[in-house]
Amino acid sequence: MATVDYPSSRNGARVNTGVLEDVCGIASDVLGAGTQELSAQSSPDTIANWDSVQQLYLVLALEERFNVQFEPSDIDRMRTLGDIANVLESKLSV
Amino acid sequence: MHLSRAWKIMFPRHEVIMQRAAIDGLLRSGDTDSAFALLVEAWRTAPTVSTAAFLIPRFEQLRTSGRFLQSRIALLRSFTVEPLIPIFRAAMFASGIDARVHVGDFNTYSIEILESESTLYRYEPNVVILASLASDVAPELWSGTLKMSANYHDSVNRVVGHFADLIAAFRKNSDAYLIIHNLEQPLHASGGLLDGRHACGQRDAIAQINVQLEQIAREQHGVYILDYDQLVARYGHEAWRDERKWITARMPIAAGNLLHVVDEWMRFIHPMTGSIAKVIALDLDNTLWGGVVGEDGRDGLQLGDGYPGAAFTSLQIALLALRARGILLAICSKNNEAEALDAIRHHSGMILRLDHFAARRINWDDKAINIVAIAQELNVGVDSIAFLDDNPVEREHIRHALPQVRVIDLPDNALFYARAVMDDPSFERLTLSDEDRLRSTYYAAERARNELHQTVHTKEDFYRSLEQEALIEPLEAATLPRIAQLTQKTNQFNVTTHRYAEPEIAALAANPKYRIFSIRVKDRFADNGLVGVAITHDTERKCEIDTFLLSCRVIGRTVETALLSHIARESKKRGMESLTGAFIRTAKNAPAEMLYRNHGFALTQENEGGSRWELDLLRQNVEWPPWITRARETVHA
Repeated sequence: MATVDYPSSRNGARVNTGVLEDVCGIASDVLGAGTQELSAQSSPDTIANWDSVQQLYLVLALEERFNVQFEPSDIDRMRTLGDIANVLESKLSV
Repeated sequence: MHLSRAWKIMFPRHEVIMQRAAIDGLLRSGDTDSAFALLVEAWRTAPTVSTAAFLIPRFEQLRTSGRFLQSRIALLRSFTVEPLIPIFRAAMFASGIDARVHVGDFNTYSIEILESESTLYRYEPNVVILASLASDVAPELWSGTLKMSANYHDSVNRVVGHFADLIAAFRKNSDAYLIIHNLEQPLHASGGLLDGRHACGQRDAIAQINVQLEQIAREQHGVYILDYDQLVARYGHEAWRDERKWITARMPIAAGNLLHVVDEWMRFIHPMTGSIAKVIALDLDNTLWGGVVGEDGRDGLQLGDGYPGAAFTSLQIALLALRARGILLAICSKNNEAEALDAIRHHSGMILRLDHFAARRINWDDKAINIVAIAQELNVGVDSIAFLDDNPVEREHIRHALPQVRVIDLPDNALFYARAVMDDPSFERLTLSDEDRLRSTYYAAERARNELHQTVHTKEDFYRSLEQEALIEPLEAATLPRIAQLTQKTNQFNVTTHRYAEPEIAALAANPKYRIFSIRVKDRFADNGLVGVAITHDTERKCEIDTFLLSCRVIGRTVETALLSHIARESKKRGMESLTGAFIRTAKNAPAEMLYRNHGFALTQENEGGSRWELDLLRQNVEWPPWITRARETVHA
């Protein structure tokens, strides 16, 4: 899978586009947003529906899909979809 | 991966995207039947948090189509149940139930149940679920904080007494169904091994509460205990909980287990709403036993102790247990009836006996037709039939042809067949005579209305849905062994049963009067490989079909029409004026008997041993089936 720079992800790290696509797909389902509206920069500030309850659903949907469990500290770092993809990727590559 | 869902397909992302686009397209076009079928399919293949969130607003768009039972469910709880709700609603929608779900506040369930004017009763629920946790109901019991010498008698009495009060008050204020979660055992008793060394220790106390809850529920009408402790144990205590979510969000259940809770709720919802199967229609070959009786013979079947026969024995035991619940067993199978009955009567491994089956249709007809006939014979609606078949093509066919039939998905591995049957909520019963006692003038009226929406699709729709692609080729060195093998082992769809060894096939191929064709078939599920053979022999102006056979896995899908069409066309091109063929009867080849009649051949001769047929090529042809795509043309020079 190709990796691309997403300058907006908070630590400036590169995001795996395959993982990001999966994250956007799931976020699209959970948040009821069109996939074209979503990008690595999407956050609760840009998506109307994205409140703390939806954040929990999103986390659970990702945990279920990827068979992982996030630590509370992981969840604190999830400010944008790009962040989520980064956290997820670090979980998956362990 | 959850064991019970281990066979579910996790589609690649692009297929999910395409499926979702198709759903939205159907909703826009107003084709509500197809949209509903695809929504159900999406849930069936990937029942996840994410899918649920996508599906619910789309199911809601179908509300006006009048296909859903309405139900009002109240969920009283001591922990965060919110993430369960979308999964629950999606599962119910997929089962044809449009449920509004009211969620009570944290730990207010006692007041809501005890006070007759509470929001709970004003909501007028049909079903109430009370989901509390041992850690909330009896904190001292859950944490084991009493002194080692103390016992938990007081805790047991207090908890049981409280539940008894709640149940009594509930029955006084509502006639809804009530489902109560029992208490889960902790991972470890705080006293370790010592816990069991004195009466009414921690684990003993929780077990006693659960036993007494069952007793109280048995004495009340419409009150049931959900065995939460056993549910947790089924999937494993270790994997069940997520302590992180418990501490941060009061959500004790790990993401991968949310569906299991909902599945358990659905076991109650199905019988409560009358969406139950009264009959299970069973395939025989590779379902009730391993192997194909028409090919392997009775003694070649896998059934009995040891691997792999034990898998089928387990399924038969599970089916016998369903029968004890009052579910009728029926056979719906493509076999020669005499052989199948012989195996049922005389195979030493059979657990099920012939008199266990309430009806049977053992023939080569379309299974949808047979299911309708079974429903008529047993005097039940087609929507009361469940269908069990190892063959995904048959399952897909029934889903299309009879969408109201409950088609049970079987995993590839037969060891899990029994589990798949026991997991299915449509076989659950709340009492043995429940159908009569459904509080159900309500639901019965709803059902009658829904039946107006049931549609039966045509065979052609089914053929088209298979997306078959056929490639017909002359003999090649690479296919010679497979062709010889098929002539030697195909018994059922085989008009002449001429057996040829490899050198004999090679000799025929070298003879300019003979032609050898093979057909390969792909469909949307799989590449079936080389599944049919025809050998023809030219004499003067006639072309004689010496051999025409199909592997049993493609019978009933018009593959024979494609092959016959090709042969007829090629013969005509060579200047042949007629195409002739014989049907030579054997004990096993009944499936091929109608081949020539069904394709417009005229009968020229007939006796007990068989029949001869002729097609006038100057006036007639055999049409290629329009639903099969012709892969690369091959001219037989």
